[in-house]
Amino acid sequence: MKPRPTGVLLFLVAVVALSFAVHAQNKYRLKPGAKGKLCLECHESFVETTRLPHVHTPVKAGDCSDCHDPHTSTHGKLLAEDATAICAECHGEMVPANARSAHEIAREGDCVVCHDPHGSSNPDNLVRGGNDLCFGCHAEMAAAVNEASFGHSPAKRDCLGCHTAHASSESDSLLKKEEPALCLDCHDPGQAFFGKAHLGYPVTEGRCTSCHDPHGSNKSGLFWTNVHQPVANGMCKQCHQESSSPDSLQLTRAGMELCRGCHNTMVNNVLSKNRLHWPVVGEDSCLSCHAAHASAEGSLLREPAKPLCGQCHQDTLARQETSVTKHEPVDDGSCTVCHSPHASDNALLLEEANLNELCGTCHDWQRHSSHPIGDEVIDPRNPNLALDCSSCHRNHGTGLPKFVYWDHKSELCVQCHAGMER
Amino acid sequence: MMSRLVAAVLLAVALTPAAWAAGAASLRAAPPIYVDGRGAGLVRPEGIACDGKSLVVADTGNGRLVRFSFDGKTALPQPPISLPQLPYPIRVKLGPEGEILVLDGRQRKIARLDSNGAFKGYVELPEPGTVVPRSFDVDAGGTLYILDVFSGRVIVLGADGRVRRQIAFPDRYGFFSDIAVDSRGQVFVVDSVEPRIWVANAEASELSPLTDVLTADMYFPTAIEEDGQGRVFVVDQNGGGIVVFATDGTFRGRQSRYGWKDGFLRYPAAVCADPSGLLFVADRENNRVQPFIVAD
Repeated sequence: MKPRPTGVLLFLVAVVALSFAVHAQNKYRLKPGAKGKLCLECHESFVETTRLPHVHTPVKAGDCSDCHDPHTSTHGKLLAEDATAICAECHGEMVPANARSAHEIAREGDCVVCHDPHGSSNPDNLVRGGNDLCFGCHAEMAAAVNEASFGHSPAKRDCLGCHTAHASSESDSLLKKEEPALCLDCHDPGQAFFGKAHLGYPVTEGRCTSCHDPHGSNKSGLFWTNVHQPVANGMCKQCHQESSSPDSLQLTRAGMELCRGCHNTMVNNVLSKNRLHWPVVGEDSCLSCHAAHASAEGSLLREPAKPLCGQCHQDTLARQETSVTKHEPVDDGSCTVCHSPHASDNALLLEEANLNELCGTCHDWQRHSSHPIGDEVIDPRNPNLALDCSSCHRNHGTGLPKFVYWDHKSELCVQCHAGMER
Repeated sequence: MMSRLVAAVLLAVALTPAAWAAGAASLRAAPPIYVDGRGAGLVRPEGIACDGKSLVVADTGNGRLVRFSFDGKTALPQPPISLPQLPYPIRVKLGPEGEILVLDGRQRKIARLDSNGAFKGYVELPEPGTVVPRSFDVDAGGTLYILDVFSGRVIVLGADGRVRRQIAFPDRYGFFSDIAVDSRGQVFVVDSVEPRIWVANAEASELSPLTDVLTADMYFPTAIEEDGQGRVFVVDQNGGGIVVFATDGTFRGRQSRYGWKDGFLRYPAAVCADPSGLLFVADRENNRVQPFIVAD
C-alpha cells in the first residue's frame, strides 16, 4: 500500500514540531544532566537556596536558562527579558484590565520587591512573612496597627485578610470586597450590641470607614482621631432623620444648608466674599473636602491637604513635583498658607490682596533684592501691571532654580530690559 | 496714558473676513485693550461678551462693566456701567435686542440690564436655594442655559422664564466651569478638573463626552465658546492658552502661551468669538482684554 501524501505531510510536521520542542527545552544544547547543575558549579550560594522550603519551580527543575541567558543579555543579571516583564512570561499579568485598584509595584512589574525569584522560607516565595512584608514599605501603617490603643485584630493578624496583594476588581484600596460587605463578613449586624452601638441606624447601608479606622485607633470604638461633634455625642439626628424613620439616613437638609445649622457664622462669612472656591457650593458642598463623621486629619479633612487639593489641582502639584526648587508650603501641602480654602475677596483665593505682602509674610523680599518692586513700579511688559514677586517667580514651581520663569543670566532680565539683550 | 487710551479707542485690526472652514484655526494677536474710555485700567476682567456691534467686559476687579461699540474693526468706548446690584461681575453675555446679562460672583445671581446698562432685575431661578449658577449662556432666542453646580444640572430657561428642560450632569466628572450653546441648541460644557468637553444635543437630557480627558493639551480649562463656524474655543486658565476644537471634538490645536507681553495670556478667564472674526479673551491676571484675529 502506498503511503498517502497527507499522512506523510502530517508525519513530517510532527517530527519538525517535536524537534523544535526538544530544542526549546534545551536551547543552549547543554550536555545531558547539566542544566542548573552546571550553573551551581560557579554559583555555589544557590545550592542553599534550592534547599529552602519554597523554591521557584524553574530553579527547582534546574532551568536557570528559563530566566537567564547564560551568555549575554541587554538586561541586568543576564535576564532573558526586562526585569519588569519577565515574570509575566509565565505568570501572566497580575493586574487585570478591569482592576479598580492595583498595587503600584504589581502594576510596574516590580515583583521582586515582595517575591524572591529563586527561593524563600515563606510561601509564595515572599521575601518576608506575614505583615512584616507589607510593613517593610508601609511603615506608618505598621505603627498605626501595632501601637494603637484599640487594635483591630484582623489588621494585626494579616493584611491579606482584607486586602489583595496585586489588584482588586471589587474595590478601591486593594480591598477584597466593597465595604460594608467586607466588614460584615466578621461583624454581625443582627447582634443587639451592633444595633445599640449605632443607635438603631441602618449603618450597613453606609460605609463603616466613614467613622471607624479599620487599622486600629486610640479611641474606643475604633473611631478616627478626629470625630465630628454630633457623632461623638451620639446625636446623629442633628443631620439625619430619626432612626425610626423609614429614610433614617436621609439628611435633614441639602448641601451647605445642613452644615449651616451649626456653622452659620462661618458659612455666612464664606458666602459674603467676592470669590468662592466653587466646590463649596457644588453638589458635594462641604463634603467635597470634609468628612461628615470622622477623619484622621485635622478639620475633618477627607485626606491630607496635599492629595486633597491635588485631586482637582493636579496640574499645580505636578508643576511643583517637577520644579527644581521646591516652594515649601506647596511641597508640604500647606496650601492654606497662601490660599483660602473656602472663599476670598482676592484673586486666586489669596489670603492677601497684595502679592508682595503675602510673600512678605515668609520672605523678607525687601532684602532679597534691590530690584524695584511694588505698586508704583510698572511692569515694562504690561502697562496695567505693577511688578510683584510673580513677575519673576512662578510660585508653584518651574524647571529653573528659585522657580524663576527664565534662565537667570541669559533670559530673565531681558524680558523687561530688552535693550540690554546681548 | 495717551497711548493706552489710543489702544482702547482704536482697536485697529486689519481684518480680512473670510469664509471659515471648520478646521484648524490660528490666532494672530491684535493690540490689547487695557483701559476704558477715560483711561482707567481694567482690573482682573473675568467675563466678556460680543455680538459684532458691542463688546462688554466684566471688569471684575473694578466691580463694573466696560463697554465698547464695535464695528468689526474699531472699538469705541462707551460709558462704563457700575451698579450696586452687580458688585462683582464675573460672566457677561449679550442677549437679543442688546440686553446685557451678567452673573455676579458675590451674589451668585444673574442680572438683566437693558441695552443702555440700566438694571432690569435678576433672573428668577427655579427652586430657590437649590441653584448656584457657576456660569451661563444665552441663545439667539433669549433662552438661558444655566450651569447649576449646586444641583448638578444645566437648567434651560425659556425667554418667558419657564424651565424648558434640565440636562443632568454625568455620574462621574471633575468640576464644570463654563457652558456654551450653539445656534442648533447644542450645549457644550467644559470640565476643569478632568480636562474635557461634554456635549448635549438640542433635546438631550444628559451630557455625553465630546472629547477624551485631555490632560496633555489643557491644564485647567475654565471657559468655552462656540463661534458659529464649527469651532469650539476653550480657555486654558492655568496653562495660559486657547485650545481649539471642531464641534465634533476633534482637536485643532493650541494657541498663545503664558506670558505678560501682548498676545500672551496669564490666567485667562473668558472668551468671546465675534462674528467679524475676532476672538476676545478676558486676560485676567494681565488686567486686559486680548483680541486675536482668527485665521484658518
